[in-house]
Amino acid sequence: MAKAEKRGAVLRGTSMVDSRRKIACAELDTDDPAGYQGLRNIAASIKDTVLADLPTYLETFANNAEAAGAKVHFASDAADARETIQDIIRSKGAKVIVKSKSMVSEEIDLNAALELDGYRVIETDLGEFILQLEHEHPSHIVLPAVHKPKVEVERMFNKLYKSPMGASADDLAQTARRVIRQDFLDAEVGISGGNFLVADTGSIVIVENEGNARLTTSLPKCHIAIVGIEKIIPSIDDLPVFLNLLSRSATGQRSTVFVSTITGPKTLDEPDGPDEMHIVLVDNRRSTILADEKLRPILRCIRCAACVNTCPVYQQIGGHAYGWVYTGPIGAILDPVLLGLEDAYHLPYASSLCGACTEVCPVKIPIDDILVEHRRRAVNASLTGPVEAMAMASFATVMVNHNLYEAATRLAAVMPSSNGRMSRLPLPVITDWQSSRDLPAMKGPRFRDIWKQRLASAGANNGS
Amino acid sequence: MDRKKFLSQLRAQMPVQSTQTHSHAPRTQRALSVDECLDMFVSRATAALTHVHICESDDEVGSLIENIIDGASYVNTGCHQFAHILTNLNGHSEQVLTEDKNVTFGISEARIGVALTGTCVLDASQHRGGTLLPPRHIILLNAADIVPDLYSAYGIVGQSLRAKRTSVFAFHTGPSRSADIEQTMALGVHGPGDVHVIVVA
Repeated sequence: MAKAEKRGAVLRGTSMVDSRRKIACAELDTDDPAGYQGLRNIAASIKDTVLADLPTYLETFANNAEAAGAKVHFASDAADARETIQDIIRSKGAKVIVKSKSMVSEEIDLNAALELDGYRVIETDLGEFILQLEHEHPSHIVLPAVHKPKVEVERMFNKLYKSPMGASADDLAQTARRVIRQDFLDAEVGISGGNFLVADTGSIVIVENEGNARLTTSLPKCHIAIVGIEKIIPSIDDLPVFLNLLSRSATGQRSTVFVSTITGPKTLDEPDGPDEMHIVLVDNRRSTILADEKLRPILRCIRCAACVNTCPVYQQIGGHAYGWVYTGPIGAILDPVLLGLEDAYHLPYASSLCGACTEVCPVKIPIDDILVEHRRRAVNASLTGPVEAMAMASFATVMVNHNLYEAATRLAAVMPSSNGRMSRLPLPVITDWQSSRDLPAMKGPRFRDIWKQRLASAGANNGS
Repeated sequence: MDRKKFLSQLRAQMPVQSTQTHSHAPRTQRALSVDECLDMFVSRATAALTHVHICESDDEVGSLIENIIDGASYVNTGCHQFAHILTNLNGHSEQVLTEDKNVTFGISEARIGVALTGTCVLDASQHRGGTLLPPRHIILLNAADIVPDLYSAYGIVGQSLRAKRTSVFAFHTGPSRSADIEQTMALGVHGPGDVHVIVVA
């Protein structure tokens, strides 16, 4: 598939959702007593309140969830989380496991571990199902298959399920529904993520549009929810603030189609539902972020991906270019901590620092400030290499020295160019960097020369 | 990892605590009269692609349901308040749904309606499979149970949870949908793709 076709799909998908977001968020000014900006402030400060005392909130949540009959597990890292889940499933004699969307499960690479154990693991979200068939990973937090042109899905469903080429999106979705339905009925275990953990009721809240998360958490006899420790909110009364912001920021909907508030397994007098419920709370370096005052606002994130959809860099390069689970601006500030700065220091550079991400963030994470903070740390840790350091040093030398600046800009104006592009800068360093790039050629006389001339002629006019 | 160890490690990592004022959600709700609630519910649920009907008597509800299901099979997912209407439906047999039996309709009863989002709230007294597996869903909602917004709805959910545990509160807003294939909306991906809400005034 041509790259241009993928880029087209990403650009169309993200800009469409971004424009719906704008309309839906603006409506909060009349729909919500606090208004859109007021809600952002409230949401950010509720999250900060929780983060300042996270261990206590986690303990309250765990006590209430267990009082409701769920079993709560704590996992310090990816391996711990995988083993905890493998242990739970081992005792179930399961063969088929259905999964609804969970970014944490991607983060800890859960599917690979479960498949090694011999289970059949089925991603039931339509987008994730399509990606799983092609052994691909999601390229977007909310729109996992946003990079996938429809014709690729037609081709694959044609090969696997004899669905006709040219089938409509509705027909393709019906085919997937039919195929996955049997897995839902066969599965002994359902694994879900969780958008919120409600401390005062011990509930988990799941937000979705397809109904696959409701089925995953309703049909199998055992439900396992895997959730990051930062997803806590204090009270069920706080939930509407976040639901209003999340659905509108994520997809431009007033509410997603399904929002489930799950409090423990089925009770004795209820007709159906899982007999057993496990909640696995995952740290996996989130405590490192918590301990770091400058980075801590990252943990306010509710994974709406508004920053991703609005990001001009993401729109051009797509999610897979980020190389890991969390993509776009939020990925560029989260991945360097979760993966380690050494492995992901380049991500904060995939940004023009235009600040669009910060402006749309419903929980007011200062994303561009944190991008700069990561860059500062990368430079201080000498991760960016001597070439960049030299380039920056020579740039600084030129910029602060009047004579050098004069000489450099005069030289740039006469550098050889063709078709309005010049192939290199009058700089002695970063030759490697320059070998794969060209730059716009300088046009006409320099601004400072024009200005000097104007001043001179103005002076002459005044004098006469 | 052991819970005590996990939490004490986390506490050790926490920076010195600043005394922070706790902020909370606004407790005020949108002020809407009963009539405004109904109008708002109809317009917002319709915008979310729900077919909304308003009925004034049990007979009217009964014949509307007969019209909608048109001879197809249905399952009562746990209607209590409106159970008598379902038992009097002409010529249709009610099925018990223990697994996917290709039943066409689930007929459910909502506990709460939310005006500003056009949402129906189902609790765990409804058979979950029955509300999700059939391709079409009919939800009965008492007009008096429509509240203005999510603040009031979750206020009721919270009160109810504190009094007696209910394993799930499911907020349903329109038919199941997905835009995962190139942002083209497809309905009925896993849940019902056709949703009727009958508001009983």
